[in-house]
Amino acid sequence: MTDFLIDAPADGPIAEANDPLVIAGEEFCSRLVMGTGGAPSLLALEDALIASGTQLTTVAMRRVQTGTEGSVWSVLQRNGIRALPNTAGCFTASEAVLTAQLAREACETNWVKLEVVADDVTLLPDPIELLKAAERLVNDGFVVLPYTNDDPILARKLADVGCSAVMPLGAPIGSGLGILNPHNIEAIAAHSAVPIILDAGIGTASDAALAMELGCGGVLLATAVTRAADPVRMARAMRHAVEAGRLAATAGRIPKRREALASSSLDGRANLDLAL
Amino acid sequence: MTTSHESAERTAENSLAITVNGENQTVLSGAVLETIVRSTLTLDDSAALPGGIAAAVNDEVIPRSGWAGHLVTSDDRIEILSAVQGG
Repeated sequence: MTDFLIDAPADGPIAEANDPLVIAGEEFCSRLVMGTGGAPSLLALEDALIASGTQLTTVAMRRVQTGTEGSVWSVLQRNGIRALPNTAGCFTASEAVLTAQLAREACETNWVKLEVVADDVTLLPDPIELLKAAERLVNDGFVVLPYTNDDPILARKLADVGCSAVMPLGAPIGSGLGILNPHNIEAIAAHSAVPIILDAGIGTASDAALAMELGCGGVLLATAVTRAADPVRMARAMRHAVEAGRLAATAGRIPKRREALASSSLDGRANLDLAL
Repeated sequence: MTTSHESAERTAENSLAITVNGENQTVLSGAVLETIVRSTLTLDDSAALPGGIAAAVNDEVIPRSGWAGHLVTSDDRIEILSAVQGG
């Protein structure tokens, strides 16, 4: 299993080379999906995105502003990173569907990260509006990746209506609390026919590694990197964490035991009783 | 010689009241969506339209290829969006 590690560049793809994330038939060598919110500047964002190794990155759709220098759109274009437009800020299925349609036109992609939140305080998904929007967008030809609660039943229903991946939260958006209900995330991943991408709540690298160890196919994070004191350093940490978590998840970990189990054989040891 | 009242009426006849990204605007009759997009982006007629932008009129997305031919009508609600940092 280690043959492909030998020639891997020092900071290049390690785990991902032979193990792509596949969403709707598209392969991604990187399992780290990045968000772009919260960055102090476009330059800082660009450096962090490059350091993360991401190949898929979210953008939001907002009314145009004149006089702004540069754009996240051009950052993604020149770095060959695929844009994943989202419907952030939508509270109803109708708003989300129209925003997705605008995003499809603007970003020339039928992929959408579907967000329908219940209010702007908790930012928690509204499950009823979410499912309604997901079904409508799938029927309109979209590749839908919904941001959802850590609810195994809702995750299953989203997959059933044709979503191409399901993205449960680990904790509330921007909280950095990690994965509050690892049992649910594990249950969602274990029974899903489509990739599960842990979305929201990641605070540091061990959270991302845990998501992968729980069986997620990928991790989506933004502010854990963009609001870190050193975004580039944290982006590299997340990249390695996702790779390490994936490797561990597919390496067959040892079972947990209640008691110690010696790793050194007792056979053949010297009889040193006389020396005491 | 026209009175100021008549002039105002004539202007009203030749113009349309619309909203663009939630703000009230008055445009000349015959304006097309591309004119509104260029004006909103402060682009002159010769400048290339940038990528990552989409427009909807009354909650209906108008494909970029149709902007030049889409006539604006009175009370239209136009939304012009672009991809920005987020998520």
